[in-house]
Amino acid sequence: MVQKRKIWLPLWLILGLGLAFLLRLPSLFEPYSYGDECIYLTLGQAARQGLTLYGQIHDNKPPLLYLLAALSGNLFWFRTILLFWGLATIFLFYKLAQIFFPKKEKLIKISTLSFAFFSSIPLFEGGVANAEVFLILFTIAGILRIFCGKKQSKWVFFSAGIFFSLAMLFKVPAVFDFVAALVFITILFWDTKKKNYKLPRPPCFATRSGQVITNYFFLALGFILPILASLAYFWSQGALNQYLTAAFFQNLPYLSSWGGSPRLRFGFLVLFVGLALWKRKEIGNSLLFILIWFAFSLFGATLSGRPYPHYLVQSLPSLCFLLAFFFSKLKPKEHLFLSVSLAIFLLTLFYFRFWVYSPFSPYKNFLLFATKRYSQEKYFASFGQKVERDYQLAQFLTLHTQKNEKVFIWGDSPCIYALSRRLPVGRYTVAYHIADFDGFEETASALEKEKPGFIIDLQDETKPFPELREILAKNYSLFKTIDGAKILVLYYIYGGR
Amino acid sequence: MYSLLLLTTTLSMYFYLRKNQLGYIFSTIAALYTHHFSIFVIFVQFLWSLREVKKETFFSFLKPYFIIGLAYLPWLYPLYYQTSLVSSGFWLGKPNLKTIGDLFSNFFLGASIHPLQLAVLLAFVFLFLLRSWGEWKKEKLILAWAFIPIVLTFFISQLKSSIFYDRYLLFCLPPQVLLLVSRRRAASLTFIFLAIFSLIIIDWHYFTHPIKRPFKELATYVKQNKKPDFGLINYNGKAHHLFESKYYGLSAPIYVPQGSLPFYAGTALMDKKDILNILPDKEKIMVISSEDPEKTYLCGYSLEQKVKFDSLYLLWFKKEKFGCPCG
Repeated sequence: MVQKRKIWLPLWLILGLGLAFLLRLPSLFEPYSYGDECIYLTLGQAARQGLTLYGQIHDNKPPLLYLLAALSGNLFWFRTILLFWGLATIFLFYKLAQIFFPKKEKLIKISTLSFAFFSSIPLFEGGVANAEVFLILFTIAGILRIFCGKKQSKWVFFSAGIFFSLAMLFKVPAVFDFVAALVFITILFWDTKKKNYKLPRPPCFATRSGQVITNYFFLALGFILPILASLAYFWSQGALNQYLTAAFFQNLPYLSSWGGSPRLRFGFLVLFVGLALWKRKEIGNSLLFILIWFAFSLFGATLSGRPYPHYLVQSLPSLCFLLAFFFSKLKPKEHLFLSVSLAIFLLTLFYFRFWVYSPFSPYKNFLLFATKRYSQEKYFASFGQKVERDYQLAQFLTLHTQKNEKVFIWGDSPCIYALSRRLPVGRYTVAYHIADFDGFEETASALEKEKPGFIIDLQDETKPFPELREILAKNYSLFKTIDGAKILVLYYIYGGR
Repeated sequence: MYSLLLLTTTLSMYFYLRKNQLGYIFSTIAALYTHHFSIFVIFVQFLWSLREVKKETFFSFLKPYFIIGLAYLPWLYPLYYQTSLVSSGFWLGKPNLKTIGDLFSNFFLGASIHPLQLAVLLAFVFLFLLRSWGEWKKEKLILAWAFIPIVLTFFISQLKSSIFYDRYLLFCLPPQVLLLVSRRRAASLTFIFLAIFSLIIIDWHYFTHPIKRPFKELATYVKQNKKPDFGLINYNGKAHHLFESKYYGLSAPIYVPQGSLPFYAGTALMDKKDILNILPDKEKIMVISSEDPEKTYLCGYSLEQKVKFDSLYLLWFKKEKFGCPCG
């Protein structure tokens, strides 16, 4: 008799993963249109060609995202990696839900399915390969490691530290998830030292001071080691200063450059977490941790005060856990904190005026395209009027330049680099980076030195760059205009061809 | 006055429900002496009590209303005078369905523009939807307090001069808020907090960014530039600035060529020399105005210069050679 093999994943989870797969599937067929993603792909392309990140090409995030872009090579594979990454994240979220809601199948289902849904739909840009969508896998893995270690072990904390570090190597605000874990560990240790403490605690948590210090040490060691390794690598490449400046130090003024008061927000964070800790005896351990995690992750997501929906992905795991708590029996204080947290999240959406993308229109457009009721042009145009122009310019560059030939585009369309697989002259891929990081002089001298065969002036840039105008007037002439964008060619190339 | 109306009518209803007759009588008299519109709340209370009145308790039922009526007697003539003034013409337009929508919008979202008003709207819509409406019959009094004054005012305004205005009906707000925040479900608290947090931010912004015309700057300019032989007047457009002028020590009567101002322009607080029917016979006249300078017209004078202070103007007019053609 053949024995039925037990499926190790519940059917509802398989269906949830299937739903997430379907929701993310159209993202694989989208055109190059999302600026940030194109910057990552361009930096990935640079890494593949042996350029040193930060030293020879610039962006302001830590390196893991660019390495992932380098591994994928193009948008389709980048998004494919993201799709399976997203499914893995949902699975880890499910494992974490099992820990936070032991024997509460309903809450596990609600939290996991809501996370699968919200992390996959375009509302939070789940289908776009942004750092936040990648980093939450490591954040969840780090928390999972802390909470589900079977026994007190320094390796549990070491590996958790590594996961948090990897998250931070995707984007710096992930450090706040790590701080949330630290706060929780500290308070739990503080409480377990007291007599008559009866709240459950994760099995790997130490109760003796010596063990706790060892745990802290290994957690910190795990967190620091990958960062140190990255520092060592860029030091060996002679780009340590640029790496530190671009990926870490520049983030502080850059992140707050859209106004708002980070100090005030920090004050609210301290107040909220302080109140939650003060009333912790009236709040269950799981909810207490999730409240702390939520507060820190939301602080991280709103650090810059910018309204990009994908920033909120960092808060999505804790938010989905909070939502699930609404379906459980709550004590009055738990209900109060839960309601305040969700109100703060909604307030954040309005206060920072987070952009809202229609969750339906990308699916509608994809269906119309897949059933051939939309032409490719019309489908591409649904992602923005400049997409078609960028494809035409990229095609021009592919035809008229060599594979390793650099070009320069004055404007904010990095997708032309990513599509044509050509790299920019100078370190910057977009005009706003040149302006934000005052790279005018550096770029002008690179242009003077390298004299690219083609310079494209997209004609939609208002920032003054007189040095570029001078170079263009001196060495270049108009070759062609595509959809308003001027393609300028170096004199002697024009003569030679 | 309107905040006081809100307080006194709410107190009146509180004492009415607590069956505290002394408190009820005093607060209701205070409400009546604050604003005539409190009569609508008394009307609702009267109707509500009437439901339960029996033959043997009829006089005790009437007693508080009799005392309140007696205390209000000295103010009957001013009420009659005010009513006849309003009947003769008032500045409010006839309300329509949009006016009612605006009323609730002003009540719950506020009149100023702030991005968080959307959050408040969302909060109140969800509170409304999440409310357990099943037992609404037990809330008839609160519903009557919340809506009867609005309905009555709306219909009265259709008959003669309009008296429908949001701030006059401010006393309907407490029952409306009570309706929204009562009979909650688990998720309601989230939206109550959302409304509270958003309103705190909106109010903070409102009080720290007052919409105030820079009259102080204008007054300083006038004091520095006005010579004794210059005239100074207030232009009577959509608004006049007589009281601001007085506050900042400027003697600038309102020029009203047609003779008199309507009573709602604040005539009760003016004396004779605050109104001018004939322009002062001066070579130059400085005019305080918030109207479009191109549409500001003084017969026999031409606009020479304009100085802008945000939405305020100080206009310099110069006498024309041939004077005013109408004399």
